[in-house]
Amino acid sequence: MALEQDAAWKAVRRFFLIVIVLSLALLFALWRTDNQRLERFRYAIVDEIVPSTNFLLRPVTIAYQMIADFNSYTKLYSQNQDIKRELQKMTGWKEAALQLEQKNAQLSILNKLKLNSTINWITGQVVADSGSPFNQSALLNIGSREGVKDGSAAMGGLGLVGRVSGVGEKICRVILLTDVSSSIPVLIQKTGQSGLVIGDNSFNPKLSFLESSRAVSAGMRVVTSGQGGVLPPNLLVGRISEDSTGTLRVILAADLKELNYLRVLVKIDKNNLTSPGGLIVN
Amino acid sequence: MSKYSFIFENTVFLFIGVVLVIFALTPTGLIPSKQVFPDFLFCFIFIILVRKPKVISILSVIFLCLLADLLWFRPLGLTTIAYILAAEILRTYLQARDKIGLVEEIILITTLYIIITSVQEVTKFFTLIPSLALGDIISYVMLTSLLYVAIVLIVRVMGSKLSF
Repeated sequence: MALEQDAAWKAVRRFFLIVIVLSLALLFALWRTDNQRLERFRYAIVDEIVPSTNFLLRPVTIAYQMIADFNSYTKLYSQNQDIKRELQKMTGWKEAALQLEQKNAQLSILNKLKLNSTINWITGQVVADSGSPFNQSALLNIGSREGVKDGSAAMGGLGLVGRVSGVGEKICRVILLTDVSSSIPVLIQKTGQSGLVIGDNSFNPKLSFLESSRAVSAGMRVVTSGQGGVLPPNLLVGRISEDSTGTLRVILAADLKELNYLRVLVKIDKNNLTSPGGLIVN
Repeated sequence: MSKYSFIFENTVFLFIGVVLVIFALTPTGLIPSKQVFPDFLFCFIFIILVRKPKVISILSVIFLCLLADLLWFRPLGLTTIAYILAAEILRTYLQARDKIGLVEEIILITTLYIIITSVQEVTKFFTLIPSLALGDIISYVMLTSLLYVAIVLIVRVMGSKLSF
């Protein structure tokens, strides 16, 4: 009797397991084919869990910050010397920039140039990492309620860091340029050649699909081309370098090590009034 | 084993698992690390499963894996299937044995981990999901296996089975 019960229990368990595995396989197939819907579901869950569990991460974050600060103190003297040197250079650059700004303003007036003022930015704090070595992404504490949209560019201090891929109400996910699934259309400023900056999980992403790689050389500036309409044009990405195997790479302008806050560029929707009816309030 | 002890042990298992999943999200800078870090969740689940195969419910494992899939932005369901199948193979293997030796445990878990990682990577390849370079995946598997060995050694040296 007991043996029969045991066999029956085992059969039920096996059936239950098969159902679970098939359901999970279906879930994976659905995720792969109808990604948008399941990703919305994912963001709804992340939206609830990550902000409310942030207190758990605080001790670890503080400990990590203390170690980073200690490392920084040990380099204080050399950093101070570097900053002094940079400051001297910057004073010269500041003067040049002021002159160029004046010249630019004069030329803009002469040409009756109307600048595009529809781009604004929102600053968000990095609240969570990707959690897995298979992704290079970060979660920011800003979301759709602040006006962040899918595909918006995320900037570090100087240059592009990545793009927003997935927005929740209170959070958004930024896929970094270093992620394996990141490809950004770029322009080599000096030659005007277009190409793609493709992440490969290394510190410096690859520069591929150039019209002619002979025409480019190390040190040239790389900016976004704006092709595809996802990212705005002329955002600084970095400078070209060549690795030991001869592969062209981009040294990112943004210092990823020091980034705790990112600026997300958002387009301002201008709702033009087409009729006076929009102004009448009953 | 009483019903209450079953519920209590599963609750503690789930609590520690959830904390591990959330701790992995700690922001430690956006710079890509030169070395991939090991999978703590795998080590935790399988160390407990080897020691308490009859206690840890399959539903607890599914919950933890799906939570990790969701929060770590992994392909939904893929890792969970691999972990569940590995857990069931392990459970069936342990049922046939009374006690498992240290070397046997390490070989068994390492083999299982290599198989489940390979299955996942092959699936990713055929479903066009981008993944790490082969070298990174190998070091990921090796690091996780080494972490497992280290934890098992600590547990054994301390002379106590993991008990809640």
